[in-house]
Amino acid sequence: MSRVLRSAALICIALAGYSLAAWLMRGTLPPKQLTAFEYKLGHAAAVKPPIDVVFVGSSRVNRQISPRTFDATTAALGRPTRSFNLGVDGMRGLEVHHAVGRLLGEMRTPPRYVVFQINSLDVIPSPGTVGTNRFVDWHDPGTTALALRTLVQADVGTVTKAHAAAAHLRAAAARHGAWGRGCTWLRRTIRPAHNAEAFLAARLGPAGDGFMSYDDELAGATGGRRATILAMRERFLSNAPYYPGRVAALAEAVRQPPDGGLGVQVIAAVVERIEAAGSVPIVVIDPGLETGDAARAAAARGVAPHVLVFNDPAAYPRFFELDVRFDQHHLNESGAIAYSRSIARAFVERVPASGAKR
Amino acid sequence: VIFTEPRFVVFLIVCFVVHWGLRHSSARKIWLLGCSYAFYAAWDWRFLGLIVLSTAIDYIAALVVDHSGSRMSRRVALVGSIAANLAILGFFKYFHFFQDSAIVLLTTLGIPAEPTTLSIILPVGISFYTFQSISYTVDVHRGKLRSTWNVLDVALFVGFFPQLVAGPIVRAAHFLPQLRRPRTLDRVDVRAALMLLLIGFVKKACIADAVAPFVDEYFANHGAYDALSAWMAVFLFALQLYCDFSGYSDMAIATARLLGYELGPNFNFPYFATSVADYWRRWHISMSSWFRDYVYIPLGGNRSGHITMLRNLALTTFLAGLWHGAAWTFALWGLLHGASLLAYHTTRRFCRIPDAAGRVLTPLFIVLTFTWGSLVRIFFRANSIEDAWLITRACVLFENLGDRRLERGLIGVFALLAVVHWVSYRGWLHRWWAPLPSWLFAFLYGCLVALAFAFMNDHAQPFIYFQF
Repeated sequence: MSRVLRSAALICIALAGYSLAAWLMRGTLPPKQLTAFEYKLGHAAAVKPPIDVVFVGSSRVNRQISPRTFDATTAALGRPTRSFNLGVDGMRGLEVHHAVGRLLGEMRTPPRYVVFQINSLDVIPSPGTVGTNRFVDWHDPGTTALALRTLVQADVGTVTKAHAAAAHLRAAAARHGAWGRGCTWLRRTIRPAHNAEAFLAARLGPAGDGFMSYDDELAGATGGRRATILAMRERFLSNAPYYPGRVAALAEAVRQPPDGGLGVQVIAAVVERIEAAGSVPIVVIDPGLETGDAARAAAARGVAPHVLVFNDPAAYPRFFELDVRFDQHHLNESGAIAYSRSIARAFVERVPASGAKR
Repeated sequence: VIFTEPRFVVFLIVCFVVHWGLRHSSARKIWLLGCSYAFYAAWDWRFLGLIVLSTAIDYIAALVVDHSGSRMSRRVALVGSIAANLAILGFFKYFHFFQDSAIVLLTTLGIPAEPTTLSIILPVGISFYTFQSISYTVDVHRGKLRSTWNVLDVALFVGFFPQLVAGPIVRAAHFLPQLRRPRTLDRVDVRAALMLLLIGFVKKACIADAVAPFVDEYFANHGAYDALSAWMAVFLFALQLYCDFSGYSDMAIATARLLGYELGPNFNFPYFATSVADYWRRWHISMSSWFRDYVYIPLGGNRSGHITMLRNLALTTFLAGLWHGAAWTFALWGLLHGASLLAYHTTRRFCRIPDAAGRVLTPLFIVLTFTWGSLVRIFFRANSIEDAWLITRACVLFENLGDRRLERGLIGVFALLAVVHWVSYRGWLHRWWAPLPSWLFAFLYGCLVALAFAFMNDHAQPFIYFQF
C-alpha cells in the first residue's frame, strides 16, 4: 500500500511539473497560427471608440451581416450603435461559446450586446476538423466541459461518444500543454510565413468592420480559393429548380413546434457567459434553409431572452428570392445589406436599450 | 497506434498497471499477448492470422527439430519453417516487385507478358516478425536453445508488441529464457526506462517529424534545388532516418523494460563509426547481426578465402537492401554498401594504418564514413534510380539543378543537434538523473515531458521502418 501511495505522490509531483512547464510554455511561445478570429478580435479590442454590438457566428454572420449598414440603420432609427462583425467561416456552436468567452475577456470594455448565431454544434467533431489548430484553440476548459456534457446526452452510440470524447480531451490537453507551439515557432523562424498578415487584414472586409460578402471576396480571389467560391455558386445554380420547393418546405417546417435538441444547452451556456459579463445576449436565426430549431426552442423555453427570427419565408419573402442569394446558405451582397437593415430594425424595436456597464 | 500518439500512452499505462497488478506469471503473459494482438489489430485485424500462422509454423517446426530422432525429418521441419516464412514474406512484400521485374525482363527479351492484378496490402511489421520466427527454429536446429512446449511463450516471443512492428529483431535465445523466469517490478529500472522513452519520443516527434517536411519537399522536387540544398537534404535525411528509427527503437526497448523484459540494443552511435564495417556494427544492430548469423556465416563467411568472403558480403548486403523494401533502389543501396565493405576489407588487407595515426585520423574517418553513408542513402530515399542518380550528381559535382534553396537556417539546427549528439556520445549526459531524489526526478520529468510536447511536430508521421 505504501508503494502505491508513494507512486501516486510521485505522479502528482510529475503532473505538477508538467503543468508548471506547460503554463510557462503557453506564456512564452507564440500561438501556432494567427487565425482570422484572433486577428479580428485583436482589431475589435483595439478600435476606439469601443464597440458596443458584436456579431459572432459562422459564415452566416461573417458573410451576411454588415455592421456599417446596421449602424447606419440604428442611427437613422434614433439608437446609434458601433458594431463589429466577429464571424468566422465554419464557426460551430461550441466554438461560438469559446469565442464569446474570449471576446468578453479580452475587450477592455465588454460590448453591450453580443449577437450570435448557432447552426451546428461540432459535439461529434468531423474528421476534417479534429486535430486542426483551430479545433485545439477553442477547447478552453469551460468549452471542453460543455462539449463533454452535451456529448453525454447526444443520441449516438457509445463508441462514437468515446471517440468524440477522446478527440475533445486530446484537444483540451494539447491546448493546455501548448503542444507543438515550440516546433511551429522554430519552423517559422527558419521559414517565415508569407503574406499571412495581408491575408488576415483582408478578412476585415472593405469597410474594415469584419464583414466580407462572398461577392466581395470573389472580386479579389484568385486560384483555388476563387474556384472554391465559384463551385459553391455553381452548385446552387444547378439546383435552382428545386429551390422553390425547399423554401415552401421551410415555410411549413417553421410552423411546427421546434425540437431543440442539444443546441438549446449550448445556447443556454453562451447566454450565461454573455450575461455573466453584464452584456445582453441576442440570438439570431438567419434566412437560410434551416429551421433554426435550437434557437426557436431556446426562445420558447425562455433560455434566450432575445431571439430574432429571419428564416420564415412568409414573413421575409425577399430573403428567399434567387436574385439576393449567393447560395442556399448565404445571401449575396445586396441580400446581406437588406438583411443587416432588418436585423437593425428588429434590434431597435425588440431589444430594450441596455445600460450595461461601459 | 504510433508510439508517439497520446492513445499509445493510455494503452501503455493500462497495459503496465494491469500487467504488474496480476500475480501469476502465466496471467501476465496472457495479458501481454492479448495487448500485443490488440495493438496489432489496431492497424488491421485481418493480418493477425499471419502472425498466428507464423507462430504456429515455428512452434511445431522447432518441436520437430528438437525432438525428432530422424535427421531427415528435422531437416524437413527446418526447411519447411524457413520456406513457409519466406513464402509469406515473399507473397505479401515481393509479389509485385518480382512480377514487375519479370515482366520488364521478358519484355526486354521480346516475350510478351501480362501482369496479374492482385491487390496486396503489405502487413505492417511482416519483415520483422517473420525473421524473428525463423531465428527460433534455426537456433533450435543449431542447438543454441531447446524448443519449448509452452505455446504462450512462443506466441509472445513472436508477437510482443513493443518490438512487433519494427523490431528490434529479438532472438529466441535471448527472449525465451526471460519469459521462463517470472518478472518482478523491483528489478525494473523505471527511471532509466522512462528517460529512454522520453529520449525516443524527442528523437521521433521533435526531430525526425520536424525535419521530414523539408526532406520530403526536396526529394519530391529535387530538380528545382541548388547543389547546397542537395547536400543539406542528404544530411537532413541522415538525421531524420536515425532519429526516426533509433527513436522508435528507444521507445520499444523502454516499453519492454517497463514490462520487465530486455530487448537488447539496436543502435550505438552509428554516425560516429570510423569505417563502413564499424557502421554496420552500430546501425540497426539486430538486423545486421541477423544477416550476419543467418545469411553471411551460413554462406561461408570469411572462412573460405578473401574472394569467397567478398562474394558473401555482396550477397548479404544485397539481400539486406532488398529486405528493406521491394524496389531496386533498396537493392542498389545494399549493393553500394556491399561494394564499400569490399573496398574496406580489401584496403585493410593490403594497407594497415598504425594505431597512433589511426587515432589522429579518427575524426576524418568519422566524417568520411558519415558522408559516404549519407550519399549512399540517397538510393534508400529517392523515388527511383534515375532520381537517385541525379541527386548524387548534384551533390558530388556540386551541380545546381535549379535555383530554389532549402532554408539555410536548417544548417544551424543540424549543427546544434550534432553537438548534442556528440556530447551524448562522450557520455557526459549519461545517467545524469540517477543521483536525484525521487521527488525531484518526478518533477523534472514532468517538466521535460511538457517541453517535449511543446516542441513536437503536430502531424505525427508513421515510422519510416513501418513500411518494411
